[in-house]
Amino acid sequence: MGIFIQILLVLLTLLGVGIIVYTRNIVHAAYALCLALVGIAGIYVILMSELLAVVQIMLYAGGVVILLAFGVMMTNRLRGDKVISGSNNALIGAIISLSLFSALAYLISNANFRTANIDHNDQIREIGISFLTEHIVAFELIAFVLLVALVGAAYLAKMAGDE
Amino acid sequence: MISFVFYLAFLLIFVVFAVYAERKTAAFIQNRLGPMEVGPKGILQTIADLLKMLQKEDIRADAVDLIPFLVAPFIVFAAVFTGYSVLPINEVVGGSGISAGVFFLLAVVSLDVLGILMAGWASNNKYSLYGAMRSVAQIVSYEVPLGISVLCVVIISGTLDLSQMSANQSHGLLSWHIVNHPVLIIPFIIFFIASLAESNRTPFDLPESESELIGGYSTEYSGFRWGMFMLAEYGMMLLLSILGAVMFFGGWSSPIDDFGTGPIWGSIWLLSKALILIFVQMWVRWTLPRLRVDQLMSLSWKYLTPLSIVMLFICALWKLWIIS
Amino acid sequence: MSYFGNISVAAKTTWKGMLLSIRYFFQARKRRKKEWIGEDNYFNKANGTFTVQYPHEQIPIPDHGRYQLHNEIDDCIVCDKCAKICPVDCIDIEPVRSPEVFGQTSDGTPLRIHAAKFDIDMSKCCFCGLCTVVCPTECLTMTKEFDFTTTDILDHNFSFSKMTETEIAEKKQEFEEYQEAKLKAKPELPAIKKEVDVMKKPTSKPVFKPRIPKKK
Repeated sequence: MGIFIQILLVLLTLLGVGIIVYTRNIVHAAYALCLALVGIAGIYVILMSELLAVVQIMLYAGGVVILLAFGVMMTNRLRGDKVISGSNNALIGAIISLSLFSALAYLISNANFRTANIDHNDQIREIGISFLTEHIVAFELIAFVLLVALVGAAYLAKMAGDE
Repeated sequence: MISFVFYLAFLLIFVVFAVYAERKTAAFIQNRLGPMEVGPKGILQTIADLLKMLQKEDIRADAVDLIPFLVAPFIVFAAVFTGYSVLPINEVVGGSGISAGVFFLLAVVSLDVLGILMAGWASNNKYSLYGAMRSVAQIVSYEVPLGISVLCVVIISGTLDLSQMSANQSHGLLSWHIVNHPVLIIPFIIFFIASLAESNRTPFDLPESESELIGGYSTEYSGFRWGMFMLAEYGMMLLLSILGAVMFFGGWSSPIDDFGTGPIWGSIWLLSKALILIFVQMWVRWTLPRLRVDQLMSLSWKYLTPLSIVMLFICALWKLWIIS
Repeated sequence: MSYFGNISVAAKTTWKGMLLSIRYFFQARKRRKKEWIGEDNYFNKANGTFTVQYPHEQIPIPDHGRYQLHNEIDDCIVCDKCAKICPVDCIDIEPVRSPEVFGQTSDGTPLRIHAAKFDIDMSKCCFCGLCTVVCPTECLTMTKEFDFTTTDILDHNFSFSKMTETEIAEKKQEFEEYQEAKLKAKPELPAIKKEVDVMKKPTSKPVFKPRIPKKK
């Protein structure tokens, strides 16, 4: 049963990714991206990492993809254009993506993954505690970067409003 | 699994009677009688409407983007209904035991925006697209105060698991969060307002506003697919009301300490608390007029979000000094 | 308005509105009484549900209600005054003269003309009541009947004549024979035809033109 669900989730993810690559309709690609991200979240659940799965759904599927689709709709449809992507720079694109893929594959195959020893029923508490003790600097730094981004966005919005 | 099946059946029955209750509430507030003809006091009116709706043709306009158009209603409903998986029914039948609990609920429920966006875009109709745009802007904005007000409760109760949260409040009225920790009254009001906005109910029904957008994203839908949107809207109402009942009003626990315990009483208590909250939602709907888009945004970003952040701070202090 | 002023105004007005509507919600236990417009508290109906479930119940209407037209054809002398005064031409009368007085109305007016056709098209009627005012025998009245809904608009044409086709033909025949006999007796007086013409409505109505004083 477990392995069956796992295969199903992988197929779902691959379907989503395949649609992203082969469709020329950008809006369809955004929907398929959401499908792929939900599939990956499912794989996280199978790997006993609920928190990561929930964060994946909330931030990527529920936040980023929706803003992406929203942006695409705002720009093109309102001007009356068709939302179709072309295929330009095929050679350079192929070279860049192949080298990126091989670099990632090399890194991942050579990486030494450690398994953290945490209680799965209480992982949120443990992750939270480790954020605020062991990884406090990284945590605060990210918070600070987000704050700067927020202030910057508000400032840009205000400038646009003044004109 | 049991809770999932229970809530599916309950939701379907609930929708039939909630539509009737909604029409009757509206009628009584407006000095009218509401449906009176089908069945005694019109109680079978919704069933007649349902039969009519199911027989309608599933219209697909020529210019729609077919696959997203057909799939969108099911995505909206699936997203809303997945949220029910973590809700408990009583002390015996809890929801899915994932530790992220209420966080998971908020995450999957936010996916219904995707279905709404799909419906509005695929309809290839400017009113639908405007409706979908408004809906996304609204739901994304109101998720912030909603999430923070839920966070206040999580801080106070110290758990994300809704079954655990209800179990903490199961010692009579005085142990309910909103009574035991009066600091949660303002987060509850924020939660309630944001839940109205999340389920696209008046006064935040801009995405569908019949009078200007003729139904918004559901304009091009008919028959069963339109019914799915309706089901999802009422499902969202019920979901957030049950969530509110669990987080603030003690979930399945009875108001009197030892009276009415046990699984059956527990589910009755939980559902009746949720239904009272739904009545308040209807009452609000037939009292307040619809907000403008700019008022909607300023309510969320200028008033509710800062207030909820302040309340988060106060709740943290309360947890530090009063509870511990 | 200040930030906190906004909040307090919003909270106060929302609270007030919510209290108002819940009051109405609980008042819905009461129903409005079936009172007619003449009663003193007819307009004080803000309390309780206002709906009248029409086909099942009605507000009583006064006996002198002026809605559907009714013609008591036995009392009608077919004078054609109602058809002439009607501003929307909804009354259609076809008279058949009789050689002699053939009856009496209930107020004693002698009957000389048969009503071969007395149709009132209620879908045209504007309910002004002028026809009832001019009626000399007061046979044409407005009744308290107001629900004359039909599925076919032609059914809105109410026919009051009781005469059958054969009766009409018979009476016409009778009058023509009488006229011919009269013509034979006095061939130099064909004045009756003229009288029949008088019964008809003038084809064009007098037009009133407002006089607008010219500017100097």
